[in-house]
Amino acid sequence: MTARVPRAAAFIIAQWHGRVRGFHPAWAAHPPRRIATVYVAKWIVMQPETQLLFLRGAGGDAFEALDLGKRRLRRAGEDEVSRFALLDTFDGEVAARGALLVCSGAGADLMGAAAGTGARLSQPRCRPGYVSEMPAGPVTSWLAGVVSPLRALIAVAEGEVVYRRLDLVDGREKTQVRCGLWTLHGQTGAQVTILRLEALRGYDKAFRKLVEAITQGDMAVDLGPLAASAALRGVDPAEITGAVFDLAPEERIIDTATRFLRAQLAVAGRNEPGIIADHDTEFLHDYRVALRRARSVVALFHDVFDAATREELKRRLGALMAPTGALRDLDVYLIERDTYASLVSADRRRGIEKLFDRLADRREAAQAELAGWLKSPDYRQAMQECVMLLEGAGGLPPGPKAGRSALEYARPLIWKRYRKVQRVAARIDATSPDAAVHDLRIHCKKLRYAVEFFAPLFDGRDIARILKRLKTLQDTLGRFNDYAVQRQALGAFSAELPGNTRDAIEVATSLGALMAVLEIRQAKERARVATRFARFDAPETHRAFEAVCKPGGGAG
Amino acid sequence: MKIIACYSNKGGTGKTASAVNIAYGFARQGRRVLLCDLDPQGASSFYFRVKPSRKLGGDLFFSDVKRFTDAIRGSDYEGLDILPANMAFREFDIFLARMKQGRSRLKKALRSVRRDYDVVVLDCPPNISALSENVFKAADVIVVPVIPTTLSERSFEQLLAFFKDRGIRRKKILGIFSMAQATKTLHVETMARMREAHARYGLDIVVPFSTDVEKMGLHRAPVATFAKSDGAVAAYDSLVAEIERRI
Repeated sequence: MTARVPRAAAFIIAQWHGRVRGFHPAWAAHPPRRIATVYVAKWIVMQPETQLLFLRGAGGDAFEALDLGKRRLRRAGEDEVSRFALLDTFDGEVAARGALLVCSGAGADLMGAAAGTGARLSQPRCRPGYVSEMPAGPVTSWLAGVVSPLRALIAVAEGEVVYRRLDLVDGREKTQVRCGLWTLHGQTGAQVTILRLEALRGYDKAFRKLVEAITQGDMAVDLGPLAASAALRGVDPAEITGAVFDLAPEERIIDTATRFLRAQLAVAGRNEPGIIADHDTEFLHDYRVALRRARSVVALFHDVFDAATREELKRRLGALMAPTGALRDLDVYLIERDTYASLVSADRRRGIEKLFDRLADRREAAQAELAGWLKSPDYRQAMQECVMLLEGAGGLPPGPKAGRSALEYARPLIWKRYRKVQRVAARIDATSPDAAVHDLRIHCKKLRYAVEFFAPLFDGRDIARILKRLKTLQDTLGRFNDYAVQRQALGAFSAELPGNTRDAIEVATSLGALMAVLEIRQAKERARVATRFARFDAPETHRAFEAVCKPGGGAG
Repeated sequence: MKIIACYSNKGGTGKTASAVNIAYGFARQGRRVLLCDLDPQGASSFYFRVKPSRKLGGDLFFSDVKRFTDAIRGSDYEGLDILPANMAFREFDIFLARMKQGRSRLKKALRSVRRDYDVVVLDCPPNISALSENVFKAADVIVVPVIPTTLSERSFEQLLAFFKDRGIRRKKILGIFSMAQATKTLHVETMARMREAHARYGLDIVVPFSTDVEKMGLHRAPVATFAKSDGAVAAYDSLVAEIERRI
């Protein structure tokens, strides 16, 4: 018997001398000597102990071979074999939360310590795609609270699953613990076993002894859900969640930079299939972020490589980035679809919807075009050449500061970028043109990249302080820029509308209303720049930069 | 939470078999059931392979809620838990006599688990005592199995008189004929006579004598798990339905 849902028996008791007595009217006749007795609502939670373990390989035999003294494991029914798919986002959001989502003919099983009662949630149906489009159920509800709405669940691993049920029984054949074993045989050849133990009410001791026997025996129970997911996917766990790029303070800066560029190209490469298959918009986003990071390193560390190399890298990375812009822009607009609709009055909304339907069509075309490019031999060659350039023996031709250690290089760079931001901001007042504000935004970005890149080399608190204050400034600048870009794009759409059809007029009117709203918002952000900068320019920020860049008060 | 007692003031009437099969019947319907074995002989605990509760002796049963709940064990069947008996239960009367409100202690103890169970089935020892009075007061329905013989008839009437004397609502009583054999004239005549005299107290349902029920001790399981088409199984199903109607 299992009590699945935590129920509580609640009643008011008085605890006195460690014994429990019920509260009843007899006390009126015989009141307790100490009225200061505390009345406590005692909740007794009746929930069976459950544990989920992840094992390497096919752990079933090792499990059944355990020496359990007077108890034994008895099979309950036949093995059930079926096909399974492991669902997760490409970046492993489910695994990162400590769970595996296994879908088979029997339905969807979310197995994990974080999965609620009994370490397991089930529902009859589950399929790849966005969580918002999944059939309702406890698994979907859990996913909704965990998975980013922008990421789709895809089948990250597939294969065969063998489900076996066993009962731990005592000398009189009384069931004390129910055990379920899911042995997953992935297509990649990997094998992972999920072992779920559930104690029957009142048999916690037997449960604990079983867990002890398992963990002290030679069953390989050292896998966690993330490692198990990675094993089935045939990748390194770090690859899934995005490993932090590690820095060695004494490494030559040119070696650090080269390593970093290689890592970004690898990330871009991993996202290609997802862009082509169009599972969700984030593959392209992550692809571009990787290339952008690479480009900013090339630009920022400009005396690390020699001039010709720098130009070549800039050209090549730019060529890889260029074809992705159109689709990304459209994705961004479509993601904001509902927000735009809410910005205009109700009578203008239909026009906005029509605009977005057109944009959606364009988006389909842009995606097809980009997918075609990514599958083309020209792209393969371009990417290959980039990779080979970075892998070249002997490294890339060095610039004047190539030999400095990462730490030595970082400090003056960050300081320089910081001072630049201060100077640019000091020149801005309420009458400055928008271009000056955009300029400040660019320099803030450069400062941010520099700080983020070298963050692991410095004190976490200083870096955190800097980034936090920089963020509030950048948020305003970013929004300001976004509105400007949107107004421009919407203006372009407006110009493209065909003639005087009723549709075109409706869309144009709504666009006009939308652009008016955006103009007002842009102006608001513009007005905030000065105050936000002042907050950034506070003495604490300055002290943090000094601590990072000029430790010991000496010249950096 | 409803409390069903299986009680008889005579031994060997099929009281424990009834308790076990009623509890299982409700669990099968999806209710959350607790079978509480109050008989120190521990027969219903035996049927479920549950060991006696060693730490629940003396007055702790009635006063220590944590020990009470810690002693509960999950049976092998979904939705059915057992509070096993132990030898110390034979001293219930002594402790109940000492406690204030001695007639309501059982009800109070059971109330501590009211959020966890829909139905509590009590398997009672075959005697009239302070514990039985507790059972009579606490229960919503009292199933009384009667083997249709003359002495049983007498026992039943003594029970009715006891209830009347103590002011306990006799409406709670649900008599059933147990181990009845249609081939025995004595059984048939006794059943007819008792039905006429005590129609208000059930006595509709007849659980026929059954070797399968006897074999519950061998299988150590409710009869419905191994003898699906037995006449006794059908009778227990009707009994569960009748109890449901009353609660």
